[in-house]
Amino acid sequence: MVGLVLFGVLCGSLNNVFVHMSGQNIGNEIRKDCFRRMMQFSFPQLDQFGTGSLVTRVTNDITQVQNFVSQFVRGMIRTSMLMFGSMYCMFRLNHTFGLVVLCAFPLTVGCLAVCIAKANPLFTKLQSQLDAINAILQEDVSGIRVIKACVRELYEKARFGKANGQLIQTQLRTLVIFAFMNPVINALMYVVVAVILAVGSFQVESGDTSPGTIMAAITYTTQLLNGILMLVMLFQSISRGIASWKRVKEVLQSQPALVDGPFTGDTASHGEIEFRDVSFAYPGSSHPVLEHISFKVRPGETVAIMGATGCGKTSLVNLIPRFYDVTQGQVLVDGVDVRRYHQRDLREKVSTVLQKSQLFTGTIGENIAWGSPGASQEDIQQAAQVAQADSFVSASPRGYNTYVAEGGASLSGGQKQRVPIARAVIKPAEILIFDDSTSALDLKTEAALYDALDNSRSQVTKLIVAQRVASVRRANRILVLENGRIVGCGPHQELLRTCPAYQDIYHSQLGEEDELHE
Amino acid sequence: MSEPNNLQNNKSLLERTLPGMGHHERFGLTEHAENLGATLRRLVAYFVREKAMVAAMLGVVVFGTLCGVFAPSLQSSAIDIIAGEQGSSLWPTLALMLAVYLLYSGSQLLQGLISAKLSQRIVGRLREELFGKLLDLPVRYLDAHSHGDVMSRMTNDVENISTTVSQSLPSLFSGALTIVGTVAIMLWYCWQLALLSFATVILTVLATKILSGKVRKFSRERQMLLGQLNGTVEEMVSGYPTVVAYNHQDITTQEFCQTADSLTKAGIKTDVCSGVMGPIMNCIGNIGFVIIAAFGGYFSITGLISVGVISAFIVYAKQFSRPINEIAQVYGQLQTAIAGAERVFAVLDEADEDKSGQPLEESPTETVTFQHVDFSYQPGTPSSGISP
Repeated sequence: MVGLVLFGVLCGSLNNVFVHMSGQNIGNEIRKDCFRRMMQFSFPQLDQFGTGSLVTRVTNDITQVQNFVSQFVRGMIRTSMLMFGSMYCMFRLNHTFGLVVLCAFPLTVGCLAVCIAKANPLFTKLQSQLDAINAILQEDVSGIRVIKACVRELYEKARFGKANGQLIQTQLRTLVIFAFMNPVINALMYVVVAVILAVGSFQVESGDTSPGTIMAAITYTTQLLNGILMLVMLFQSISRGIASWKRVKEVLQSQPALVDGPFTGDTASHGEIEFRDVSFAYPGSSHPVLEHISFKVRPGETVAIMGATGCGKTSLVNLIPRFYDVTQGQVLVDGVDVRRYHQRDLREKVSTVLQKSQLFTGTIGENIAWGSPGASQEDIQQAAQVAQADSFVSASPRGYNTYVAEGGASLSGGQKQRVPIARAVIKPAEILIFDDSTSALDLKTEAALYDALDNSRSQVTKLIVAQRVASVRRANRILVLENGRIVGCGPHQELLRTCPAYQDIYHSQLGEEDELHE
Repeated sequence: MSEPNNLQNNKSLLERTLPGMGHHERFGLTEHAENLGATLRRLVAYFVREKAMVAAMLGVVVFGTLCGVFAPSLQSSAIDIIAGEQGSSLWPTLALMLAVYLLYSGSQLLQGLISAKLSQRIVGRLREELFGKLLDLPVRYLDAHSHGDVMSRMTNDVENISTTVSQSLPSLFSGALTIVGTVAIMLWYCWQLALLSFATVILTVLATKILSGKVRKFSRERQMLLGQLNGTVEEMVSGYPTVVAYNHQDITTQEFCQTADSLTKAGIKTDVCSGVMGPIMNCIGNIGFVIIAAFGGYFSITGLISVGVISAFIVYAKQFSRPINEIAQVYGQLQTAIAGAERVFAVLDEADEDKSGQPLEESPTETVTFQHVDFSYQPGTPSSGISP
């Protein structure tokens, strides 16, 4: 007996080690593959999944799968062996007892099946309600200023209260189902024990068995019914594990929507852009955002793109580095259709400052160096000077080693915009796109920025999307967009004479703009 | 032999399978609250509000424990009767035994139901209070505290507190009662055998102490890495346009993989250490079993005790060692829950936004005037004054 016990503990420990190693390693590999796959996604796919869902899939869902693997494999093997072993030993000891226990099986399994059938749909509901609460939380925590400014605290509290109430209800229902399960199974087991004792008493009288056998039978019964319980819990984790695995698989099997072309970007010209009868609608939407856009930008030219909000400016510039594919027509960079390029080589040529400035955990210097990994300190500083960021960065105590926290919460709006500009400037690209990225800069800083750009990166083609006339009037040409179509194209003075839409914009902004510049 | 405390065994599995129920590793990250007494009192106040339910639950627990302690002795009597060592009639004993066992199951059921209701009500209330507080706090608070941290308090900490406390309470109570009752009966039946069984207790305590220290250390490391990993994923997914625009995918993936690998190593260490507890407890339990079987058999032969007593002893020995494990486990969880409660109360105690002042009367000539305004985002950092 002692020998068996010691052997048991040895095996148990080794089992423990291997199970956890395998579980964790599997989970790790899945996680890394998932992340790699995600990094190959195109924008349409990102939109399709949604950022929140992707984060959950890579973190929470993979943990579920991992737990499933480690618990299930180990539990399944162990429990089934335990159960079969007990059953076998029981029958060998005494057939009658074995039969008694076998009779209890269907009842037990039936009870469990009912519980699980009721609980499973609740689990899915629970998960989505949890998502809802987390979403409200995320929203309200990051949008606290808006909530306060609009005095919406009471409304938000009520909204949260409702979602919370629903979640609590569902959780309660699942707990209730499980609260029933154990006692019922145990009660069944006690009945079996009583029956065994009763039957056993007759058998002992007739000399067929001994009290020791009865005790052993009772022990086996306990083990068997516990085994069933374990199996049930395992099956529970299966359904959760499989649900999570489905979600992870969706990510792993997702093919990038935009496929690379063969061309590696070796072109004769540098910085030429052409739109040939381009029309565009976002995937899944029938509403056209751009219609029949045609224009050509020469290398080194500065072209501004103007128009009312929602007229398609960002969509237009997003087509150049091929963040999305056109629905009709062609976008050509340096004479080659963007779809023919290797996506990476295309994006080496194009440097974009996005509308929403994105800063990452790390120092300011590291953030800028995204544009040119391995850049020297001088290069970083030079780029920052062009972007008019050097003044405030060098003034702070740690300079370029200042840590950016929480996406730049410690920086003002204008400072937050200038770091990504430096990032775009340091990149040795041929095309520079500013997507409304100077909105938080005052006009003086903005003018200084354009001056610096003209001096240091004069051969680079610049596309500037802006709302303010003052930002665009220095451009070689201005493209005026209205409802997804070009309604004017030319230098500032010409448009002022010939384009009604431009005249509208100009006159509505007249006043402070002119006073500053004349 | 019956194992009346099945529920405890499967509870941790339950917790792992029900979503949103936080992490209940056996000897996980045990944090220590700074002001245990005060926090505990405040926490108790939440439960006091649900007086009726708490009282009902404790009542059910007491009743159930008594049944659980009494039933095995009935079982042993039954076996003795069968073995011919006792003269009374079998059927009444059997019937009584079954009845007591069924009552025990019933009380377990009730206990589960009440505990579920109790914990959910408290979670619901705590969450709403905390959320409401977040909206009433000055904006400065959210600037100064990481959003991830704030949300973690809301979800993990609150869940942890309520579930742990409302499930540990009956555990502790019934555990203590069980131990006292079981020890008493064991000593009464045969004090020699009882003392021999108690030897396993010492082993249990030793094993628990050594392993929990290790688990704590690795767990801390893992939590930190996990936070880092989650942060990276969130950042890179929400900042994906920039990643793509700057062809940063490879570098990002490399960093991610490094963190993921470190996390896995820490995770393995933690899991292995906490997982080995199971086999070791089993082993100690089985050693106890061997002791009882060997010495019980010997005593039975020498006529000191009856055969049925051995059966009872086996049940009681299991019944007795389980609460000891439970208490060790629960103690760590309770400490973590209380530390979490402290964090939650810290937020609840923050000063609300200053909503003093008079109501604004509507007037067509309303203006905003800045008079000698001094402002800075960080208190203490100098900033130039603003003045008309």
